Amino acid sequence: MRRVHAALLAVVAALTAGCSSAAPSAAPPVLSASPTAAGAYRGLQLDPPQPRPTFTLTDTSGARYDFAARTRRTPTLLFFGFTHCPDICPTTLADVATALRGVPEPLRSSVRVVFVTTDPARDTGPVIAAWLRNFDEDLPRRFTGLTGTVAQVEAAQAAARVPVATDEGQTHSAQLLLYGPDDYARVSYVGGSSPDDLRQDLPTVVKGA
Amino acid sequence: MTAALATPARARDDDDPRPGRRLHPGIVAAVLAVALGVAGLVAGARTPSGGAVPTTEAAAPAMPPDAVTRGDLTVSGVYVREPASPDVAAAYLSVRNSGREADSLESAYAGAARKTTLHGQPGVVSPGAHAGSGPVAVPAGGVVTLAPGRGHVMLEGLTGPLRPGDRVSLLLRFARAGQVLVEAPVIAIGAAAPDGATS
Repeated sequence: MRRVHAALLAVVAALTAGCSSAAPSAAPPVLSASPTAAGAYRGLQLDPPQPRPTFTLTDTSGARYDFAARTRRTPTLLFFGFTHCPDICPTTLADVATALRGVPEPLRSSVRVVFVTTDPARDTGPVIAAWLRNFDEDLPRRFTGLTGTVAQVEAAQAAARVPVATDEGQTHSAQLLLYGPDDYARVSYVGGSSPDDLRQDLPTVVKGA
Repeated sequence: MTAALATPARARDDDDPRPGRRLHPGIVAAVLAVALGVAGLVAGARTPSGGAVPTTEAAAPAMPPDAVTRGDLTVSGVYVREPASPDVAAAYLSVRNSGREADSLESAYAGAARKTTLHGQPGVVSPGAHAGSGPVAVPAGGVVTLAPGRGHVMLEGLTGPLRPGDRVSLLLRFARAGQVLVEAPVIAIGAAAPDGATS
């Protein structure tokens, strides 16, 4: 019952979340609204699976970061948001951290978490780095924060097949995408998911279900 | 439209000839603003109550420990998550309307922030209508919940750091029920939503 509710909410919430009044017009991602009780995952199943996107941005130290090359064949969580966001962005990253604390090693250390800002004007490398430390301080592998030009971060969102953020990045996709070792995302998480959903799905994704 | 704090608006009020019975709305607002400003700055040492309150699965909703009722409305599950950004935070809450008339959360005020705005629930019917700032409808006989990704009270320009264990005073102004003052505990960044709140 809870999952049905979550799935329905997710279809709505997956489109965008944010703090602006701008109405997004981007096409919704293809999502399965069916409950996943009989499926492999507790999160929202992506049908068809989405390939790991290719984009190059700048990490918080100012170095080039080729997402596809750096995360290839590695379980990876990808989220787009902005640090001035009070709501879904910090909640999502806190949930990711909570989930990771709940999975055993070596799985915990193997998961990459990549945050891409949708507000590159304000989110410089140091701003993102300081913000991410709120979440990953006690984790064995720090989260990766990426920025770039507006065109670059928009291209990254398009490559990841999420609606491109509007309103200076403040209305953005709420989807947390989980790519497996086979370089496909078969499941994602949005409002209504819990850290427990992700914690339970991680081993399944890594096994390649 | 009334700014009265303690009593609902009644037409009968106009029949009362006693002077001073009604506070001038402007004075009430000013006094409240000062009180809230102070409250918002005070770092409370109290921990959120309700840890020992049993949860029931009964059909009738159990009254959450922090519930504040005014007229037909009951506000509960109020909390603020410790902000990750130095100057912006979000408060979450539920409003139950047991009456037969729809109400609407028109605005909010927090002494802990220079600017407080409402960001309503994503439109359940029309995805394009979500995440808007503005009034939040509270349907008759319904419950509206502001939860992560599903609306929040945005606190911008924080007047100081908000740390777990602090409490933030929030003044909510409803179109029909008037003003409701609630106190939101600040929870840690990674903490689960408190009892009675929807995460």
